[in-house]
Amino acid sequence: MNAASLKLTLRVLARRKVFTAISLFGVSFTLATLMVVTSVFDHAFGDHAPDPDSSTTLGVYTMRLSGEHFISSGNPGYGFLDKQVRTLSTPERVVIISQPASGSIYEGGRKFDIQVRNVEPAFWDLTRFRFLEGAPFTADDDSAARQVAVINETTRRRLYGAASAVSRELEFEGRTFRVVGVVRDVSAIQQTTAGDVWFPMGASLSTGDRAELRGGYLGLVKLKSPRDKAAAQAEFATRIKAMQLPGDYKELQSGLDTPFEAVSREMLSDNMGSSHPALLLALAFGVAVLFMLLPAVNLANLAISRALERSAEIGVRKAFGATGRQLIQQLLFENLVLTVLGGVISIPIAALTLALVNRSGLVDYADFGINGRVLAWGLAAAVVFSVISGIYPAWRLSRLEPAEAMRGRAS
Amino acid sequence: MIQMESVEKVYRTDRIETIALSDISLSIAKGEFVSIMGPSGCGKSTLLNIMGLLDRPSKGRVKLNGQDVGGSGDRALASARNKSIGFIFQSFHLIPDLSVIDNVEIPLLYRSVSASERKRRAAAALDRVGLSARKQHFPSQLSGGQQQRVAVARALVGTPDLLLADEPTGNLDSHTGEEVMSLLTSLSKDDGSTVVMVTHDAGMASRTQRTIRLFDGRQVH
Repeated sequence: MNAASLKLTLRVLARRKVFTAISLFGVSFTLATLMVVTSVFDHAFGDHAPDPDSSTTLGVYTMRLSGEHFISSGNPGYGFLDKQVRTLSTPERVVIISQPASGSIYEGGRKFDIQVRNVEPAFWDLTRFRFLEGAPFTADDDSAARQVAVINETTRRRLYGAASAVSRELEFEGRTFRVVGVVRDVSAIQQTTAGDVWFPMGASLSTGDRAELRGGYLGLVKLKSPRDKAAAQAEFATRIKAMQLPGDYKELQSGLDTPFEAVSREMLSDNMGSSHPALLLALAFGVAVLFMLLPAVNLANLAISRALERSAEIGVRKAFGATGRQLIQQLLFENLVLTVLGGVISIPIAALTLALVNRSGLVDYADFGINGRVLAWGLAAAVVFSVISGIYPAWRLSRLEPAEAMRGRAS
Repeated sequence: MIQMESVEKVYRTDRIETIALSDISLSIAKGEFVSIMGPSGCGKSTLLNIMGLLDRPSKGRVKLNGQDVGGSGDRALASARNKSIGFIFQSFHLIPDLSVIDNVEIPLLYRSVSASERKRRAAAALDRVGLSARKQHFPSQLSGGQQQRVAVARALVGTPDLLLADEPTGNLDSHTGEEVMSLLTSLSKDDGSTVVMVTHDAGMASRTQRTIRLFDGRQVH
């Protein structure tokens, strides 16, 4: 296919305005929807600041404990992470943080609902937060159990308006904390870093929590190099297998995962004994293809009726030496051009939809947008969509005898 | 050039079987100018289509340049149509979205010919039919006679051994019909091309070397 083919395709599309408009609407709507879903997926599992570098950071997100008559799944406890994960030899370092918990801050007689996290001071080194003012709390703050806090920019605005927040005080659960830093808001979909207020672990951790096997924590494991992933996972698997479990617990299943692997472990593994990221990705692809199937069939129908209008042209091309294969290539190319045009139109539609989602408050601090990865997936979806919708009409037309094709309609 | 032996063409639907051609045997030598005549619906175009490998016979054998094309696949048939045969149709069958020169280039698109060589040969073919000034026009901008001359240029741009013309003057007035007929005569006489032409017009048929007559799908003498 060359510039002349592209010119001919664009001319055909311009001449059949109604067909082109209907097709572009269907293609762009379908691809825009896929790009919106891809963007959400990318923000949840892609490499986005301030989450830690995904190539060298794994996490212990979930665990499953089972006994003779019970099964219990949830987040690991501080005690488990401290004893079994922090002591692994492969990782460079391990940072324990709590899952976000709902709480309330009282300021000037008003109550503000917030999401609170307790984090170890190394959390600030591992993550890529941008401080708008102040600085993170330190190891000294943590070990001295100082009542200090880092807040996000929305909490600063809600509590103190446009004024600086550093050194101001906030009241949480009857205790007074001093603000030491302010960071940018983080989308609630970024589970490792999302939150409104961060307190030092040392100021919040109870003696009971320090020993708990189960609880609302997660362990972030920083590797020296991405190549250490398998070794770290194997070491952790050996470690939990050898663990002496208290009470009636017979078995513990967990894993050292990326966030996506953790989701696949929870969704697709019967006993959380293994993660299946490839299977989960394949399922997501399957759903995407199914989603594209109905509009693709509609487009194929339209393409058949449009191509039947051009059956005389197909006949002429065959009469002068085109093979069925060359005609399939030509018709698929034309369909690809149409789909790519639909893809280009879908970009602003998807961007607008994501901007509306960001403003809707459906996800706190949502910052969905279209980046290179989302665009690449969108392009791949356009090509898949083009093949699904174009292959049957192209094959059917290419099989016509030339005389039969020319009888269709004279040009 | 062409041999047909006991060729039959039957169109079948669920209920009806229509015999379009029955027991046709004929031979056309290289360089001959032959016309096919007969009333409407007698199978003239069907015969021409089978001769030009645009349709397959239900029975019988067709040989082109001594080669039986009966069992040929899509690629072999496409190659034979591309290299050996040029078609001229009653309703021109020009592609409306392509310019005149792009229409004429079509047979060369399916050969390994560079874009510049395609343009050069298409321009030469248009020059031969007296339309070099209309290269960049579109078919809808031309008269019927001009469109048919473009179709003739397209048929001869690939220098085929055999030209098949299905009522080439049927949609033209007598003056432009005469122009097209003169072109075909010149191709036969001057270039030695084999030309087979379907026509209703006894006057046009009389200018060919031989006439094959059909009636109800059968050859009559």
